[in-house]
Amino acid sequence: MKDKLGVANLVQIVPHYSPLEAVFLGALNVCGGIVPTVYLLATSKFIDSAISFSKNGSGKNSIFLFIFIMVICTAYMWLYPLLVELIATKLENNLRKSFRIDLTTNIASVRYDYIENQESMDLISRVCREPEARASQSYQRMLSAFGLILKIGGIMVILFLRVWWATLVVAGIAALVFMVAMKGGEENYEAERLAEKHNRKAHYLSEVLQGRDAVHERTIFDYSEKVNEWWHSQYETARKIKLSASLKWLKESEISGILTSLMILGIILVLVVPLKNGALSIGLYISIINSIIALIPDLSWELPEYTEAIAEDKEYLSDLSGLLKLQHNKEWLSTPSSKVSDVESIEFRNVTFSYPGLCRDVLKNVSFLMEKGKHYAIVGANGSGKTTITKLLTGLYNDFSGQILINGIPIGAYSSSELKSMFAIVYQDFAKYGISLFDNIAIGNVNNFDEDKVYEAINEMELSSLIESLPEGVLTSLGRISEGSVDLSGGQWQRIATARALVSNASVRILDEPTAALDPISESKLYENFEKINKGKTTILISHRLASTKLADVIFVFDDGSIVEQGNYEKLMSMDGIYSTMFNSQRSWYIYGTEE
Amino acid sequence: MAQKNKQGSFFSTIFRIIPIVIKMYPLQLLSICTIDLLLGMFLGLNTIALDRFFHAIQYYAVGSTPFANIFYALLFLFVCIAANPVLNGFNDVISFDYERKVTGKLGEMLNRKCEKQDPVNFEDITFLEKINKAQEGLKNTFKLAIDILDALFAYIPYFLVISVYLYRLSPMLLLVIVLFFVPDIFSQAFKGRLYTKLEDNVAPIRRKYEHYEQCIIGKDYFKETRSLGAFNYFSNVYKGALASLNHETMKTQVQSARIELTFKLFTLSGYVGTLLLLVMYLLNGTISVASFGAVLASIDMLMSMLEQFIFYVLGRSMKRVGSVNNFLSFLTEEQYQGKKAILREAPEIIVRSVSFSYPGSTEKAISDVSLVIHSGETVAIVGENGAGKSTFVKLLCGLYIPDKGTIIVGGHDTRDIDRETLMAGMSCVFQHYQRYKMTLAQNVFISNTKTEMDQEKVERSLQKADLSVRKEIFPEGEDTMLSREFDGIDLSGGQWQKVAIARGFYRAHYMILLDEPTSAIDPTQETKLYRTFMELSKDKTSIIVTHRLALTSVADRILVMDHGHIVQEGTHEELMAHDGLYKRMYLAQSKWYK
Repeated sequence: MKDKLGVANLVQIVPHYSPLEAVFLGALNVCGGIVPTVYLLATSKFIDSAISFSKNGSGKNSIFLFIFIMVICTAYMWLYPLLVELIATKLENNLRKSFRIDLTTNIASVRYDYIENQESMDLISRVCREPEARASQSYQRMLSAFGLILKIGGIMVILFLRVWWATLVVAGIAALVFMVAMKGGEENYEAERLAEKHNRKAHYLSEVLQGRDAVHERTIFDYSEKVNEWWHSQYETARKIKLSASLKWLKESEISGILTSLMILGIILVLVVPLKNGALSIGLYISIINSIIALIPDLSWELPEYTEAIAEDKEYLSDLSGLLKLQHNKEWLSTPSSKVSDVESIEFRNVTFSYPGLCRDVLKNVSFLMEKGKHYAIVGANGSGKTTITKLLTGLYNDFSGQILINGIPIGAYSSSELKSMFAIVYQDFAKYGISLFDNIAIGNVNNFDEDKVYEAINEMELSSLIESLPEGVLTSLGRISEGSVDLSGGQWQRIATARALVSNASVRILDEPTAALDPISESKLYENFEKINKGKTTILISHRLASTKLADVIFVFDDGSIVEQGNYEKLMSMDGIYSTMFNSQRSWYIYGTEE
Repeated sequence: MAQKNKQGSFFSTIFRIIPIVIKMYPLQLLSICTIDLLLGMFLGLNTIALDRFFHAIQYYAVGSTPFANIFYALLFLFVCIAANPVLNGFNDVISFDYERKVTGKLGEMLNRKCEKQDPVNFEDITFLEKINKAQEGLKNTFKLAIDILDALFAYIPYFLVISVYLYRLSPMLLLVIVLFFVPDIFSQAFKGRLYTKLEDNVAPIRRKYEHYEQCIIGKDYFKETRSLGAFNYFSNVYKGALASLNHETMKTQVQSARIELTFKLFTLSGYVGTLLLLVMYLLNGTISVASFGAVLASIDMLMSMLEQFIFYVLGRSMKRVGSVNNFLSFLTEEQYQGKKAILREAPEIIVRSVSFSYPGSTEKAISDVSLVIHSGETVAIVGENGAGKSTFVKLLCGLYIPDKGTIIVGGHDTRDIDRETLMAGMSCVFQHYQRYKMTLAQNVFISNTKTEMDQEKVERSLQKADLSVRKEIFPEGEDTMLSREFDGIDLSGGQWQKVAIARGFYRAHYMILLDEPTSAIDPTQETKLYRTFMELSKDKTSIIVTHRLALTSVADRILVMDHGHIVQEGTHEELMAHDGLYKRMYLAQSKWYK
């Protein structure tokens, strides 16, 4: 892949995914560019022979031939947009099922840190907005521009053959007009960009004024008047920027408009000479002038549009090449390996890690050992590095220093597929998939949608009564994406996310804040069942609710990226360190009168 | 009449929007109409000028007239040709700016209208759709108006000029052109309907594939989908949804092409007929070579103008009418004007057998609750998720109006009052507080915008909320923009919550509502903040919702809610003395901390 894609690359991308339609469209446009010239010639011949027929009654047959050609040309010009539309739809459909899916697959396989980076996420969302429509439209625009060039070229050739020097004058003026249009296009684009920031602000403020999110504060604080003022000032700033740009552009467009008209006047005048001396027939004269006049809208509207659109396409293609340059690896898309290897031990040796682009170390020289079948807890304040450990273990990040060993072998030696089969994770921000409830749980083990296991997990997470209340039981789709789907409460979703981990064959379960959305009574129940549910598994519980950590065999206390205390509950409480301070402070949330 | 307006016939809608648009910037509108008129006329004159010129040149070519004679014809032609781009240039500049101005004004109207809406409406999905449609309609309103004006001032004058010319050449010619174009109107109407149907069919498919795409590459799903190895699963459903989109699109496209082809063939035969008619006239000498040339040149223009007229002015405008009507009917929707109700001291709140359910839901969120909250009292509300605590708070302050029963705040029935005036004495920190993409100071000031920003008070409020404005975090102090999108910074959840608390403090009040005000804040700081709340709510009527039962010690009274009812009330000791929900919740929470 080349470093940077240019507009010309569209000629490769689009035909690559939909060769037949792309070529067909190209051919249609080429004909569309040539036909006007044929029409011009036929008309001129027709007029001339009509004149000679009315003078001396000769050449009747050739008259009909020319009329026939004129009709065919007209029919083509009249019908080919219809054909173009049909084929373009087919082309877009082809791009949708190939180009779009390739793009999505490509993004799905990028290095994980791009997903947490605002800049690359913006890039991704820009490129992925209906990419098939963008590609197809840009491709068609290029073809139309090419057709227009052919159309102009045809007339020029005819002109050139009759009065060669007139062509040079025309070409000169056309080049001038084109340059003015290009410059204007750029300026407009620049103004658009400048105004865009204010527009975005205005758009945000109108959301505050009209949207659902802010309605309660909006009503109580009664700020609409003031915010409307702010909105107005942002809106007006954007408008004025655009107005001043278009005023500048006005002068240029007037000049180019008058130039174009002068050019036409020039041709009309210049051609009078050969007309007078008989080098040019009256038929051809009339036809040439007609064709040139027909070109006016193309020159004054279509051309500037193309230049503007091409500037946008350029931007898009540079985004696209930026996206393709993101480091990616198809192996990361693999399913979990079907032969499950038991994790006997996990060891961190002096692991230090910082997120790409940030200089602060989230983990500083962390070492610990976890063994099969035991329950571990990781505690610490927000931002102390707890969740990062999960991301390292599952291979989402691998730029750390030190060593992470699984069963004594460095983590880098395992394939992505093997790592996936070792860990089942309930994320703090678990995914709420808009698929059926059954699939939402079964997907915890994608290799085998085992019904028994799913129902077992449903029972363990006490989801049965919820399922009974759903219109289509376990097959009800969740979320809000399709008709008849049902959205669940945060607590219900959390139980489904947990059930998802329960169906997995992985021998290590990582639970990251598994009770954040549960009410106190359900939370308490989950702790009570913890042992039973996780029998025989190694568990790593990450939580800032310390009550849950009582169940752990070993608790690791993180502070500012390091392990500061470790041991079981009794040991840590007797140490009178961070853990016991935190525990006592939390006790005051739940036990009346302990805060004093 | 009212019935008809709701349906909104094409003309009634147009008669309603044109005056609105005219009133806004009459001068600019007048200039647009003038330019339109000139454009239309010159476009029509173009054909006549060509006719004249071709005549002159024909005579000149055979030497029967001197060059000087073609000079005027040429000048006329030049003016007609140059008029188009020159006038269009002005037209573009004026009408684009005019569009932005009018759209701005309309936007302001919509903003103001939303301000006056009942907050509970925003829980109603049909109402939200209405706003959405009104926003869509706003964009279309100007476009509809300008298309109609274009039609009246540019297209119709053009058609008149050209018709007169053609009629004088041959009435038959005019008739053929008009007749063959009528079917095109129908074809556009068909097509319009087809695409509306497609849009309806495709909308649910689109929601699906967009969601599946999010499941694969969206930020909220990426991590989990990757570690589950679920790419193939989602890729398959994604492909399936895209395939059915392809199927629908192609089906409609083929249908539409078939209809259009039929009509186009008909129109084409008209075109060919016109051409043959012209040829016949030329051969039998009815029209001159010059007129033939001129008509040939303008016939394309005429066809494309007719098509534009049918497609844009009729087709597009008809499509837009519905959407514009949504906007108009939203603007004219009734709004309630209540009595003034000004709080001058901490209010007493009387709740009399109140029930409430959300729009579109049959389940009662609050059912038959009665209660008195005394002036200056601090009341804590506890209960499980979904018990109705937040809803109850919103009823107490008059944000929502009960379906049954009454709530009287400081002597005013919330059903009869002008919300604005009552709320002038209230402040709040809600569970779903707003993270305004504005500067830190604006984020605080926004709770009290009726007076100028008091810098000192902003600082004090931030201090009380325990948010220190350090340079490392807030590089521009209080003027730091709190949004990455607008070149500012991102705050953590805890920091944001403190901003929201400062906002609550900044507003002068006699009554304050605190709904889970500290859920994202560390426990040690939380206790401190609760002490501040206590201090601030002295002599004020305060309502605190929390699920951390121990924090209710700051309250004079605790209300326990369950399934929309108040099931228990009293102090902690009183509640613990009974075997009720409170005790059960308390024990469930506290046993892990024993």
